Amino acid sequence: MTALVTLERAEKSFAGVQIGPVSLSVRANEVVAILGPSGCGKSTILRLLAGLMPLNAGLRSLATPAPRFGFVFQDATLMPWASAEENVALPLRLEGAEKAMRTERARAALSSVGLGDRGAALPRELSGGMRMRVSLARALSAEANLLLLDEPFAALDELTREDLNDQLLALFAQRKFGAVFVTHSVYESVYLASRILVMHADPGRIVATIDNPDPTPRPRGYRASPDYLSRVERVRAALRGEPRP
Amino acid sequence: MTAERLIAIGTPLTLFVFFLLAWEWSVTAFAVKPFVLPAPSAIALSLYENAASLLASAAVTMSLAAAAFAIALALGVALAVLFLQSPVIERALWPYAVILQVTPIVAIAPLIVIWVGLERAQLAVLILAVIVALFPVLANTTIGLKSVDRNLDELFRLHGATRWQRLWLLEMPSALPYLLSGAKISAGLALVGTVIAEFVAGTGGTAGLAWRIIEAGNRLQVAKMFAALVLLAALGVLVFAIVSLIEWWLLRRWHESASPRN
Repeated sequence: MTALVTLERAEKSFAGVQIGPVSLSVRANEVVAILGPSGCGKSTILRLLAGLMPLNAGLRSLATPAPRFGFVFQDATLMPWASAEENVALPLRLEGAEKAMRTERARAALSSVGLGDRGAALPRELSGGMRMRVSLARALSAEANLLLLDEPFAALDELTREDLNDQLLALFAQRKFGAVFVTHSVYESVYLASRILVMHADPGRIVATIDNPDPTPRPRGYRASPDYLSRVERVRAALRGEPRP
Repeated sequence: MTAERLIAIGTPLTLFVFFLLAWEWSVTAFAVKPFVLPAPSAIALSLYENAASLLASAAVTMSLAAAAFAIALALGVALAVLFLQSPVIERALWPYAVILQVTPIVAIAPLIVIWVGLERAQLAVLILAVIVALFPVLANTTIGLKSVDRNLDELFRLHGATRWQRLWLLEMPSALPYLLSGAKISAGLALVGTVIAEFVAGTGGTAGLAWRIIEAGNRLQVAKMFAALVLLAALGVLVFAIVSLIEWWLLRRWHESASPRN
């Protein structure tokens, strides 16, 4: 399968963080997790993939037709003055879609994250988990086929986080988009991803790639399975820089 | 009405009434001459007797201040948007805005009156009031337009937003709370600027409240001076209240400042 987006020997120095050279490509229908210590440049790599920052060296190439990006930030990053529905419709609005179509797609996207009845609510009237789901719906509304998620659930409580992980896996199974997922959580990376990239800092680089071929969506009991736990151990060891167990 | 609310309203009101009574009593008890400090009752009487001329003057001052405020608001927002489009223009024009702000208006006023001509004193007053009222709107809106959430900014770029979409959908709403808090200061300053300009223009044909104060002062009608002052203060409070109400109305649904503390 061809790659949706590829970085080849990409280098970037940004806010005192040196990154690269890093090579990485993301295909449709795969979830790539990027894991690493703070300051290793995980979020910067997402922005490089999205084309939000120019590279200092190296190459970024896109599939034809170019993938449609959806971005989910660490906090929900909603416009506080706009309703959930208007927030979800934003990408469509920016891309010049008709109002009727925007409304229809926004409602569908909100329903797909279980917030079909909260379209009129303002962000401040929603809980943290709901806001994050609105943010997810926004990334989906413009028919994104490459989702970039920057530690999207880091600020949520454990149970909400697990729920949203399941919801995300269900969406992946349904829509077959590619995704790159930055996280601090070893468990979350193994649960969600089909490929886990472990980064180290100074300079930010990918030190290990761990595949997780277990089929998705993954059952609730997956978190207790030996396969899952052994992969968690491998990722943890890679993160610590220990030899492969 | 709850006891809490009664205390909240009753305390300042009681204090005010007590202050007036103490004032009234001291003026009589210490036999203060009315041209030094008239009693509140004398001021009220003067306000009643001169109501027609004072209210007519208040209308003149108020309409000039309102016009100055509207112009300052439009000009301040337009300049701030211009500054956002071009940092070069911002660097070129910002110093003039600062110079106009820090130069005392009473020092500029005679010049403006001379340039515009005493026969058009109202225009001079308007210009001076605009100069005084412009800066808070300009400075606050400029900061507000730049205070856009970084992530939202990236989202707009990711989806190929046009300059116009960024301005209307992101920068202006982000700047609104800043703009309104600048407007609240500007509205008061427009009134202050109008009165100062009326003072400087003096007898040159403005019939605002400042002129009533000068006139009454020349005749040692101190109670009437106070009556005009009371009207001015009331106008100031009214202007502040109106702009605060608009601010609350515009931000009530989404902004932290308009939500209850607990």
